[in-house]
Amino acid sequence: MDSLRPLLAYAPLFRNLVRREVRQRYKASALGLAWTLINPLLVVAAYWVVFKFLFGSPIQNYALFLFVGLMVWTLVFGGMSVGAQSIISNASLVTKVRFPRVIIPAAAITANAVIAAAMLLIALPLCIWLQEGSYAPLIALPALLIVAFVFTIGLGLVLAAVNVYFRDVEHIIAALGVPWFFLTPIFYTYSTLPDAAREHEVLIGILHWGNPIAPLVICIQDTLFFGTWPPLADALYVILASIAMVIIGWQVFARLEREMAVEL
Amino acid sequence: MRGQVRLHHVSRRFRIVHERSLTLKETIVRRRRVAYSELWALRDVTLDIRSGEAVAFIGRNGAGKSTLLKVLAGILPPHAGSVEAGGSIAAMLELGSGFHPDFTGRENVFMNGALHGLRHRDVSARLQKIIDFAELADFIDMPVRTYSSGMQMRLAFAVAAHVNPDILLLDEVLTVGDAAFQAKCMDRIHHFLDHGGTLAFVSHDQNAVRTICSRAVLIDGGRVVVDGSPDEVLPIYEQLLEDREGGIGADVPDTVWSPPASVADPEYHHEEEGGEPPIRFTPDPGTLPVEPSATIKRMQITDPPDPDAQRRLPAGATVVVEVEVETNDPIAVLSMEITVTDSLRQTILETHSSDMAGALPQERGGFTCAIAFSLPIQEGWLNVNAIIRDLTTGARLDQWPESVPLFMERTWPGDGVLAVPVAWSVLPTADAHDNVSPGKTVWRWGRSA
Repeated sequence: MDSLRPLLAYAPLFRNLVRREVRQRYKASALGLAWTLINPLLVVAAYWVVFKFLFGSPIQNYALFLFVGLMVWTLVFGGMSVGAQSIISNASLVTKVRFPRVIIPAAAITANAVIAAAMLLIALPLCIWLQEGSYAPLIALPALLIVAFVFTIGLGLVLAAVNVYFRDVEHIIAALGVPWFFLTPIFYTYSTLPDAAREHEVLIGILHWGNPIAPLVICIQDTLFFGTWPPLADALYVILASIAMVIIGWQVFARLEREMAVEL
Repeated sequence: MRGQVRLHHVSRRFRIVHERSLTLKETIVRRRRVAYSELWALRDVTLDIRSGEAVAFIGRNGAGKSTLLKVLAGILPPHAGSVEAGGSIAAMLELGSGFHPDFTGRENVFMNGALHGLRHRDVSARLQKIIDFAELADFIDMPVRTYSSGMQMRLAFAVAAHVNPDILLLDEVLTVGDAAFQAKCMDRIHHFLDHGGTLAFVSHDQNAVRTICSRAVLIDGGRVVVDGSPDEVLPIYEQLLEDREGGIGADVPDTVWSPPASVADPEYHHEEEGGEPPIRFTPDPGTLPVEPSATIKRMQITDPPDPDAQRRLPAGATVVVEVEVETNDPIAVLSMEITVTDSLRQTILETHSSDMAGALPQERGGFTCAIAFSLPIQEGWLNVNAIIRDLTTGARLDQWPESVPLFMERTWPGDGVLAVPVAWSVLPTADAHDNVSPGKTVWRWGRSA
């Protein structure tokens, strides 16, 4: 990848943009960075009440299970959303200065990943303490997180570039958020579904393999929360998906990058 | 080579969409039926800017100057031809330059430095200089949204001027800020040029063009019309401004024009030869009569006498302008008009011989007028122009083609626009009540009280 080398010269810009994105998000708010954790904790509390007590989910340590799934969701879906908006919200840079545009979505997604990292910092010791499986699969966790991050970068690049030309993209993503969240195994696992659901194997298959976030969530829940090795099929799927996504993202972005300054 | 810029048959097109459809749905539903027309903002521009050269791009609004700078800066890709720029480029295009309103001046300086490829410690090393230059010491830790546009501009220029680029691109920067800051920018630009930097800038300020640049390029209709010394190019530009209808470059409609076939491919490889010379433009006699009954033969500033000193005068100085007129028609009743305009082309002085000196001599042969006036202006560039008119019809017979530039230097101790005699008297309160006569003059400025 020769085209990656000139990017190194822009490492300071990347760092600056990441810092700015993180600080900008909570600038002038009294609780500041604490919001990164208050948000998911509130969601976890509500879902915990609904699905543990009202629907009676059989999963042990259900709140922590939710929190782990939510961390992956924040990393991937949150990254997609901020990535999609990133070029437009930094239009003043794009139209005035020459630098590799790819830095903007990459920095926005990285800043979002910082929030997911804060969640991981809380989830990791609790998982180690509470999980009943083995610790060995934790070795795979860093690799899986990188795979999730790479996938998000790839998808975010596509969305960021396309959103410059069709501003509907960010609204579509916002509209998809809640339904997509429900269709992703975050507050349930496929193995703990009620018996009635097991008859719809085809549907579950579609939900499982048609949604690349689903296998990602499953793999990370397995290694971090359940202490088991993730299913090989899921692991291979996410690795291939993220490699494909980052290549597609790079190509699409490079093609659409040239005329961006005109469209903003 | 560092600091060198080469544009080789560069063309750049814009699409003007008549019905702006930005949404996915509309685009999918309508497919290719979105109506647009094409505008060639740059047409086959070939330019070679040497390292260390200072080039001004001049032209009317919409001529393509700013597009040219954006192409030079690498922000817009050309649709045909090639651009080569050696070394680092810092560009200051339009106001703001990517400041984030919620962050402080200091944070934005670091961000801006990083945009120009500087590391954190490089910016740290220059931070104090940048703050001092922008005169924002008291405001640097306040959010940029609280800044006035002048303050933002000062900060943006300070950063761009201190990143030490090989090539500096400026778009209409010098018209913002007060006279003192403009003078400082000028100094900084000269400093940059003295150290071998390459400058390309867009300006409507003809005096700035004259003082900074050794070369001026007149752009019209997206083409290079004239490329030469400012003294050569600026009069043609003036002519163009007056002759508002039509243009020189836009002789082919955009619907028909296309870049030369040989260079239509943007991946075109650069060749060593310099391309065709730009089209030469012969000044159009325009609105001036072909055989005027009077012509201006000479116009010069005789006091102060030294030709170098003519361009820099202390605030409030008296200037003597001599204009020699040749008359060809003894019947014409003539009137001489001297105007002084500032850098914004506002007339700050206009004087007519008919009001001040009565009738001008009508004999065949000619006469010389000497006009003396003081310029109580604190600071900035001024232009002196001479026009000879037919007093009965008011028609302009001749105009000295080059206005004479003057730079007023700040020597006056106060502030404001005017530099006029001011006397201060300070008296103890008790004396002021009893004694009407002024007491001790603390400071007096000017020739006469």
